[in-house]
Amino acid sequence: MSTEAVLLVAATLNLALIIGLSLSTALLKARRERRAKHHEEELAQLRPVMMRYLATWEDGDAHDLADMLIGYHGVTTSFEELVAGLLPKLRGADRSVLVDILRRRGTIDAARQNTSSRVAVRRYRAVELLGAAGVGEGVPEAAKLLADHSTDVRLAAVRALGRIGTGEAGTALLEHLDSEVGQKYPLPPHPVTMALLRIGADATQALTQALNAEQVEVRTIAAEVLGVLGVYPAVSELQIRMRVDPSVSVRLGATHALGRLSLPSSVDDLTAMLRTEEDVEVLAAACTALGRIIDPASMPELEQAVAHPHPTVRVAAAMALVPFGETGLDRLREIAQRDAEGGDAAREVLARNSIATNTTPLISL
Amino acid sequence: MRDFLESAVIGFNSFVIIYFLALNSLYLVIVLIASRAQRRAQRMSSETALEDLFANPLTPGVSVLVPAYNEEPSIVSSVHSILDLRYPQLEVVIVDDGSTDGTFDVLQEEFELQPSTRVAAGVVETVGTVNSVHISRDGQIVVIRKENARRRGDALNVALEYSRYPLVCMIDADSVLEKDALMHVVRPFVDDPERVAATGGAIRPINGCPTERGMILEKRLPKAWAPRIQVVEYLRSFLLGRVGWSAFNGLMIISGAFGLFRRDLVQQIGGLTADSLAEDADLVNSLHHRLRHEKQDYRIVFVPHPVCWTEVPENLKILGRQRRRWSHGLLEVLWRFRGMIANPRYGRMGLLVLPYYVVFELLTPVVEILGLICLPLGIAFGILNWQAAVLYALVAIGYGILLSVVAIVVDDLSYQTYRRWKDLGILLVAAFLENFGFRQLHAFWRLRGLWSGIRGSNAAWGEMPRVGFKETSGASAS
Repeated sequence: MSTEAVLLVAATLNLALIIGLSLSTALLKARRERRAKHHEEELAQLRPVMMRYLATWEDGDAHDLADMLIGYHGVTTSFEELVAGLLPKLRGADRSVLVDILRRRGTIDAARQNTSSRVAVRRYRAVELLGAAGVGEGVPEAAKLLADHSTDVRLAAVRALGRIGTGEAGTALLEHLDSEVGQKYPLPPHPVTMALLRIGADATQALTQALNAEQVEVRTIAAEVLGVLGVYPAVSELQIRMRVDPSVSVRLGATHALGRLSLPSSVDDLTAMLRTEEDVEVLAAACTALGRIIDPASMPELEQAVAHPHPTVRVAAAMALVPFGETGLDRLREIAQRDAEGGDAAREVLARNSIATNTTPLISL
Repeated sequence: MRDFLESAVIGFNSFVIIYFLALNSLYLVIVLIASRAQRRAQRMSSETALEDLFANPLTPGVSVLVPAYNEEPSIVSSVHSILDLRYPQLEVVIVDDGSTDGTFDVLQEEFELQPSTRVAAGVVETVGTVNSVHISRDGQIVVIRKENARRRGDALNVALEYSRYPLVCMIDADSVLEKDALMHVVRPFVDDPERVAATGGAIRPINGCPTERGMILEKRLPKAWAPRIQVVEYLRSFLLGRVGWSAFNGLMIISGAFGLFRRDLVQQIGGLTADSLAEDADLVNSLHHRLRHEKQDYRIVFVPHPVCWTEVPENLKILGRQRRRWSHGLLEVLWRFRGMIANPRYGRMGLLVLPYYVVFELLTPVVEILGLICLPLGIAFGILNWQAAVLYALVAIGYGILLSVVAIVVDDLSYQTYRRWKDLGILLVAAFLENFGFRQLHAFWRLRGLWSGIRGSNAAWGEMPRVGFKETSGASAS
């Protein structure tokens, strides 16, 4: 075959592919638009029925509407999509009746079965639906997917457990983290904390126990979440973690939590931390926590911290003095006169404070 | 002599065609990998993940770093677009890099800036002297006025020094971000905090899109053909190239228009290289270099969702300057990291990605221009018959068009960014037109950039005159 012939074949093939791809894009676009229109038409039919059902189900005479929804067999995705879109906006009984419709349509069972599918996308969608529906019977399946080999599926399972929101879901998350399986398939802390926060009060018992877990990650998450949830009974356990835990991240999490809880009983431990702790972030967090508690007994320690060698601690300590009102600001003004020993941090915080409170600067800049 | 010339021309033309076949075939492999990754990302996209990210009080804060040099027409819109982003905790750190226009004045007027004594971290070295620091009433906007060092990297280093949050987002002053842009690029960090070192977002040209207060009202194509062709280029580069490279952790460039980095890692490598013309690529390679050197398990991720819109040059002179700078910058970066090239110690970065950039990015303009010279010479001297020459050109051009069409198809299937039928038609025509004049001009600009890099010319961070966004109301537009 001559070079020209090879080139001719290649050029023709290119041309065919270009034309073919362009035409198929146009065809796909046309089909997509047709489907979208059809889908919209379906939703336009379904939406009023759904709304009428939600408005009348309490009267007990909406059986025909329920039957209509359960038996709706158009393109099923339109129905499920409509419900999935509505569920996050609904609370209480309205939400339960919609979930009941899904259950009676067999959608929940199908989703539970699909969590064992070989196809990752199916497992993903199934667990997302279980989460959106918030059905307690989905906990075992979602918990199983915490060890899925696909990261996307694992994360979807975490989110689903958070949305299901039962104590079992919280326990499943923490147990997974603190197990060998959890080490093989680690879960990132951020989605787990959000899931635990969504579970809320139902997870507090498991979280308090988790402060003594073996894994550092679990203790850290438990400490942070207990603080955000405002679990006051966990204060003494958090104080112990802050004082004695060998891990910096756990001490930091516990310090954050104690700051959020802002109980005066933590002041002694926090000021002691300022004398003994070496980690800069923990020190800054302890200053912030003391600034939230606003106990005058902590002021001398905070003033010392304003002269800390690290700027992060200096600024955090100076900022912690602001909530003490005029007393704290007077101390800051004095410190601001210094060239060293925290003068820079005090000046910075005073300038910012004057801006935040929309007053004239407290010192000349 | 004639025999020698004949063999040389035929040999070179064969080399050119093999070169372009290899280049485009390699690109096609990347495209296939990218399509798979795109499809997967699309099918497993989750609104609930973004909701959780937004609602979580422990979501890491982001400092958005904006270097600005003579950005008066668009800076206010850009800052508004950043402030309007859906993200729980962010600050905007703008560096007015010695602007000679009213960049600072418009910022001061719009955001009621006041002087501040914010302290620099003192970790990264900077060049241009900082004259003053200003802060908005709510403390969310920090503006640093400094002497111009003619280097974007230095402006970013200064911004880094004054930033507070653990993640730093570097953007151009003329960038307009989508509402959820930050959440999209932060998500890889929270989903894989141990490994993700940086993420980059997809960039699209904003020319032609009507905006209001830094928000895009409608996604439209530009009116002129030069920016329309750039839309196709961006689709090809971001939707296919970067997704493909990212799929096997070989992303060499995160666009300076929109990238997110772990602040501690950027500080550890000493910040950006101030005198680099391609400080974005330089930064990413510095991260690869350090993290591979330390044998760390890390990822640099590209987020294909269209998240950032930026103004592209409409004028060929400005476009030429921009492309010369890119080419010069690429040479600089590859030269700086030459020790990594073909070095097995740096894994696929050393053995695949960097050699690819040397052979198929850096040298492409040389091969293309020589091919353009040899082809007509061959015909003129009767060495090549015109039918063969036409076929050579058709194959090379056809392959290029094919790749562009694939990028357009992927965008239409995945994101439907441009919804009108007319837009699809325009993009397909632009993919065709690109190969007749624009591509050759582009090769020439790149060759000039390469030459100035070889000569070691001291090219500075060029000023790109802004026309401002097409505001439908409110903020100023010129």
